[in-house]
Amino acid sequence: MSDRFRRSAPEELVREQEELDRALAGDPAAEPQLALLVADVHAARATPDPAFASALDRRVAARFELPGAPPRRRRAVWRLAPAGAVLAGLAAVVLVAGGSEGEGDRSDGGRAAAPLQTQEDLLQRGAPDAAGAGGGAAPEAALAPGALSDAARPVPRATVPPLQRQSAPPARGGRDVERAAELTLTPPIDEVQDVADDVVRETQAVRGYVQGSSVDVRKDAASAQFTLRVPAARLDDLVARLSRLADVGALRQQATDITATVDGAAGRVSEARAERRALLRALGRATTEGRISSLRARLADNRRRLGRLEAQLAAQRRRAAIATVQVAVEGRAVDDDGDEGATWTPRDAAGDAWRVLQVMGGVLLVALTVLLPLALLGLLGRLALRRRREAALG
Amino acid sequence: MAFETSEQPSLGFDALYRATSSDVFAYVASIVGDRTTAEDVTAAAFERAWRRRTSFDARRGSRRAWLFGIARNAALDELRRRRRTATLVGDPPDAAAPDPSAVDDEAAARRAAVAVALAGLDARERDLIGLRFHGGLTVPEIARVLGVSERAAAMRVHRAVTNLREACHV
Repeated sequence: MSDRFRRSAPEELVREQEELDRALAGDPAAEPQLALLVADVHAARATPDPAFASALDRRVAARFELPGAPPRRRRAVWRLAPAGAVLAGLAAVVLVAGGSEGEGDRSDGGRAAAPLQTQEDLLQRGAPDAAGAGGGAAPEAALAPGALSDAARPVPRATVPPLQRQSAPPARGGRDVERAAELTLTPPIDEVQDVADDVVRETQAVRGYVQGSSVDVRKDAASAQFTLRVPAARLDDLVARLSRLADVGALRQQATDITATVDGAAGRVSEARAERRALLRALGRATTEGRISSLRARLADNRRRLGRLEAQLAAQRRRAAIATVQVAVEGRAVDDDGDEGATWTPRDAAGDAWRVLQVMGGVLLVALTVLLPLALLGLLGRLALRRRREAALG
Repeated sequence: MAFETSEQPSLGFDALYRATSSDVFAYVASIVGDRTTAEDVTAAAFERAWRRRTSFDARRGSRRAWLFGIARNAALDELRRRRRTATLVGDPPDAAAPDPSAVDDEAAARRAAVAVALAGLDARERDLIGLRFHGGLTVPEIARVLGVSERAAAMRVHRAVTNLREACHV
């Protein structure tokens, strides 16, 4: 009899059960009538048949295995249940941790170690920029906000998308499109010089040239800027090659339709040429000295204007044929263990601890979400089974 | 705590079997009502106990209470099965059994009266009497087997014993 029962049950009930316990135990001090009842119940009870008893003895001795039958296998599925539960838990941890990593990246802001931007992030962030590109410009494919001056939010090389698919659409139907790109690479500080060399090499490989460059390498900081000129048809190829040199901090591409400008310049050149031909014909027909002098002066003026207009047309056509690529190489500090950022500060530790707690909370939430309904169902099933069993006594 | 000792893995179960086999049979017979079914259910109960011996947890009660819980479930399952098929019937009345009114020996007459009183009890009360008298389970153990509070179990046992005593005129 438990203490809780002794405290909560009526005293008479407790005393009666204690008396019954004594009678069942054969205590001589038990109430005689109760002891007699116990003895009579015991005497009146069914006893097993000796044949059945010996048969059951043999079955127990044989551990309930039939003679000649193979040993009965235990239900392996129940033995595997704990392992399955552990695996399910691990899967939940991985899922939640993965999801939380993504969430944390977006909210982490400044720390260089954690953020990993996805292609979708870049596109979404770039969308307003592109929408804001005005005038007659062709759609602007801006893949990162803040362009080159933005503090590094490095994109791992693995996440750099195939740039050919992202770039601005090429000119179609004989239209002239001026294209440009701005790219920020963020290699480790000690790799800036190598990356700068590679930038030059890759530019030359696509038949482009370096219009301007500036490389600044110091002990604790390094950076480089390049202005590259490359055949427009090779722009995508060059951007893809440069993106493989280091983590891409930002990428911005721009395309401007200059067909009208080129056509205007070409039209002016045609007009000047037509005027020249007319002047030459008029000169051939001129007979007076005054007329000839006047026509020669106009021809000289036309020659100068035509030269100027042809130069303008060539310049416009060069805008479409040659693309400009601005490349910024910004060295970033790397710890010995490969983490970005100079040191692991207590603030970082607090942030990491908070993220660990978030992950654990997420895991717990997912586990509860899954397990609670299951536990409830199991409990209900057990209660239902118990009720059905008890109903058998009714 | 494990059901069996690591040194002698099967001795625990063997000892339990030897100590309880006749009690389990008597208890099961008091529920199912006929000897043949009681034998089958008793064997099934011990087999279940053997298969599930690793599930025994000493913190949740004694081995005896654990075994009687299994036997009770086996007996109730049998009753449910019987109810579904509705073909089984209890043993025919034992013609050799003495009529309480015709027995001269006082003790024999008393035992016959108790047998009749037990047979006249409600099935739930007979279940409780079986657990308490045949199984020797304490009130907390019965509460655990029935899945009710100790107080409720004590009240039910009290009512069953009272009814039995009244039926026996004790």
